[in-house]
Formats: sequence, structure tokens, C-alpha cells
Amino acid sequence: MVKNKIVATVAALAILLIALLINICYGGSTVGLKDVIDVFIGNPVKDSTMIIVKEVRLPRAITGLMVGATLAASGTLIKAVMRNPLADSGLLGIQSGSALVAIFIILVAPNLYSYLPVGAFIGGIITYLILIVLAVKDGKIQSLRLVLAGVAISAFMGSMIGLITIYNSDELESAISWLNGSFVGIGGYDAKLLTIYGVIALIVSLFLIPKCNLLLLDDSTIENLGENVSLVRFIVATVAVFLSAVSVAFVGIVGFVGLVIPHVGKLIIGQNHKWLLPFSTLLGSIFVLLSDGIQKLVFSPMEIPVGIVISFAGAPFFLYLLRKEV
Amino acid sequence: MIEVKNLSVSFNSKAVLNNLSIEIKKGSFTAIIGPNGCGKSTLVKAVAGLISTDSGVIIVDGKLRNKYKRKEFARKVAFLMQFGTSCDGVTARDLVEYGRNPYRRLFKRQTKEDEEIIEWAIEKTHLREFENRMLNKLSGGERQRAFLAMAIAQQTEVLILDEPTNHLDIKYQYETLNLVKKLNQESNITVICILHDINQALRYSDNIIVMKEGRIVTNGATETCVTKELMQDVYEIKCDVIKRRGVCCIDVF
Repeated sequence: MVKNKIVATVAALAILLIALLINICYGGSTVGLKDVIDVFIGNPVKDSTMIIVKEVRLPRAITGLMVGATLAASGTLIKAVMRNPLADSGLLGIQSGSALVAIFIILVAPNLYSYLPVGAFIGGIITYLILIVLAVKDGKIQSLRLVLAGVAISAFMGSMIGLITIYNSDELESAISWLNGSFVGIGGYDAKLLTIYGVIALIVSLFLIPKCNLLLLDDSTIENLGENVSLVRFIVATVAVFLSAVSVAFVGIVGFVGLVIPHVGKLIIGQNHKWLLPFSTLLGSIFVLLSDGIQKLVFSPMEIPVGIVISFAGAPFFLYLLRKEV
Repeated sequence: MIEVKNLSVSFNSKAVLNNLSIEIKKGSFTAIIGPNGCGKSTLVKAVAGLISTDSGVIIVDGKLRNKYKRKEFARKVAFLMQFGTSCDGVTARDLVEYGRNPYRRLFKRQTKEDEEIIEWAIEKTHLREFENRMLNKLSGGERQRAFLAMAIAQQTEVLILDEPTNHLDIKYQYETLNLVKKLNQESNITVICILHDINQALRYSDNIIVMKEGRIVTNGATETCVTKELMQDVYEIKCDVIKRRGVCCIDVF
């Protein structure tokens, strides 16, 4: 844990800014930093540069920023609710539940497209409720049951998603890319929707900081302090599910961000959610932006869905944490 | 202040408390004693609302227990549990701050008054030297004091303690009980305290509830209640009840 939390947070902000600039500068063709600055302050630049920066790179960078932020915040909240370091919307199948409804809207009912996050949220919350019913024994959530139920639900939702995609196989390619967590084809409209829903959800999550801190105590103590534990849990979980649904709706399933980042955040800044939640949110953005940036630098001109890059980097790191922490 | 009428509690259809009634006066210091498994903890947990009851009513300050809003009750009654669990990532000071939760309003930050009460609670329980240390790095006794500080930061009229001297060094046992007694006398806080040590119960309480097998054996003023016959009956020990420096105590043979 670091001594000075303010310095750590400011440093994270600075790195985030650098990661954003890397993502805007690099890609199929490189745009100089000066040109990027010119675009933003309104100085005249070449039309092609303008289009690349404003219509391709910026929406994509914003997408990475929001996806990382919402998934990391979601992971932080869900770990608080479950009191389980393994809890994460991806691992528990909540993302799959969201993805099922989202892919149904994309492929079968595209007229509902602007309600995509809402649909993904409904899918996620239903999955969450099923999960709780399966994981509770003797009035308590059992960690082992929770994780195993999550694995089973993920597999089941995955099969349903497979079924829907096969029946709509003319769009198979885009669906597969989406399912692996891809930023390709994210346009200005998507980035705007993602930002609106994401920012609202993130602001709401900040109001839950005291509740998350309460959940560090045991149930009886929380009750003694005049709180309804079940209600507190449900509220925090609902926001966590919504946060992950926002991300899933636009870029598909992206694992490991919610699983790993809050861990790292905790190691750096401690368990108090007053610091942990905002800090993890920043770290999540940095992680996703750097993953996408590295992907572009290494594999260009080929596109690898960022979800694959994240899993590639995240899984070994998670195993390392597993050896060290659990 | 607290009235319990015909209370019955059972776990897995096994009766733990059997049609039990007590009355606790405002401003009194009531000790609950009895052998292990007699239902002491169950009784106080029922009053605190942590377990469901089969039948009977609990009235706190003229109002039915289940008519209270949660936070309203937490401003009336604080409950210090027997086992303060260690919580990952919580400092002693954080724990004391949680004590102000019943006064917290949505979207409101900590007030100056909260701050003063937290400082006072830390001072009173001698937490100062380790207020910023993690709970799971503290000894059992230090942790117990941190939980006591949280309970007193709730600023309630009633303080219920379930074996508060457990895990404590003898110095802190008496310091804790002296502090509780002081709160009882100076701030007129009603104290209900489960104690394992009969001599501590005799020394600090003015009322005593003696329990055995889910029933109340006797209940009344401490000085008159505790006799050697009672001790023989409840604890199966032979002893004298003697007075030393004006305080009752038992002297086991």
C-alpha cells in the first residue's frame, strides 16, 4: 500500500492521459501529437487527420476508457457484495446473461438498439438473481457454490448465444468479433451512448462508497448499525450489474478487468472504498486503453479483439495473484 | 426501559428460551449470568433483533421492538457482540466511524459533531496509539476495545454487551467495566451486560438476571439475589457469598 494516496491517484490520472494520447496517435497510420492537439483546440489540420482523430480514434479511445472504468467499478462493487476476491461479473456469468439479451437485440430485434444497455442490464440482473438462488445455502452465500454456479451459468448462456448467432449466421462474423470484446466498428454514436450510460452508472456508484465500506463488516454488526444487509447488498449488486451491462452492450464480453483490477487497486491504495473505487476505476481505464494500444502497435494492420489481449495479459496476472493472495 | 414478555426462541425446533419475561429499568446496570448454553446470548440477541423469535413481545422505551425503524433502533440500543470478527482492510478508527452510521443521512458527509464523538470514543477506550492500524493486526483485546469504541460512538440510551471482557488482559477487563460503569452512572445509560466472571457481575451490577437452561432462575437486586444456595443450584459449586470492602463476592471452596 502506498503512503500518499493523493499522489498515487494523480499519477494514475497522468498515466491515463498518456494512454489516451497513445491510442489517439497510433493506429493504421500515425498522427503526430501536435496535430492531435490542433484538432482539439480547433486549429486547422488536414481533413484526413481530422477524420481519423475525431471519427475513428477518439470514439475508440473513449470506448476503451468507459469499458475499463465500468468493468473495474463493477468488479469492485461485486467483490464488496460477495466478500469474495474471485467475484467478478465475467466469472460469475453476469456478463454472459447481459450478452445473451444484447446479442438478441443486435441480431433479432435491431429496432430496440438504443435500449441495448437496458436490455443487457435486464439480462444481467436476471442472471444475478438466478446465481444468488443457486449459491445460497442456509441463508448465506457459499463461495464455492457461487463460483461453480457462475461457471455453469456462463456455459449455459454461452450455448444460448451460440444458438442465436447460428440462426442468424449471415451476421456471424460481426457477432463473433463482438463476443470476444472488440472495439472495431464502434462509431461516434455508440461511443456517445456508452459514455452517457457509463457516466451515469459511475456517478451512482460513487454514492455507494459508504455502503461498500459497511459491507467490510460482518452481517450482524451491519444490522446493529441500523442497516438492512440484504437491501444494501441488493442495491450495490444492482449497480454493479448495470455497470458491467453497459460495457457488454457495446463491446461484448471482456473478462479479467473486473477480476484483476480491483485486486491491484487494493494492493496499491488499500481497502477503503473512498479511495479504492475511484482508483480502481482509473486503473481499469488505463489497463483497457494500454491493451488496445499495444494490440494496435503489435498486430497492426490486423485487428485482434481487445478482449483477447486483455485475457492474454490478465489471466497470468490473475494466477500470480492467486498464488500470492488467496 | 426494556420489557420482555413471554419470550420463546428455538433453533431447529429445539427450545433455547422458554417463555421468559424480564424488565430492565432505565439507568440500571444489569448483569446476566449463568452457565454456558443457558441462553444468555440468545436473550440479548433477541432484544437486539438479530434473531427471530417464536413468540412473546419485546418493548424498548415504550415502543414495540419491531415497530422501530432500523436506524432509529440503532440510535437507541448499541450491541457489542461477543466475537468481534476481524475485518479485512478496516482500521480501528474506521470501525469507530461506523458507529456514527445510524446518524448518517444519504448524501451527507460526516459532521463536526460526529468527529468529536469519534475522538471522544477513541480517547475513552485508549485506542489512540493504534487507531490507524488494521483490525486484523491487533490483538484480541485491542480489537475488543475498538468494537466497544464503535458501540459507544453510537451514543445510545441502552448499551448491551455480550461478554465484553473476553480476550482482555485483567487490566483492560477492569478498565472496560469501569468505563461502562462510568457511562452508566454519569450519562445514565442503561447497561445490560453478560458476564462470565461472577465476581465482576457482583461488583458492577445493581441488578442481576441469573439464567439456567433457557429459564430465569432469579432476577432482582444483585445484593439480595446472589446466595450460596443459588450458586450451588445454578453452577453446582460450593461457595460463600461474602462482603469485602462493601462489595459482594463469592469465595469458592
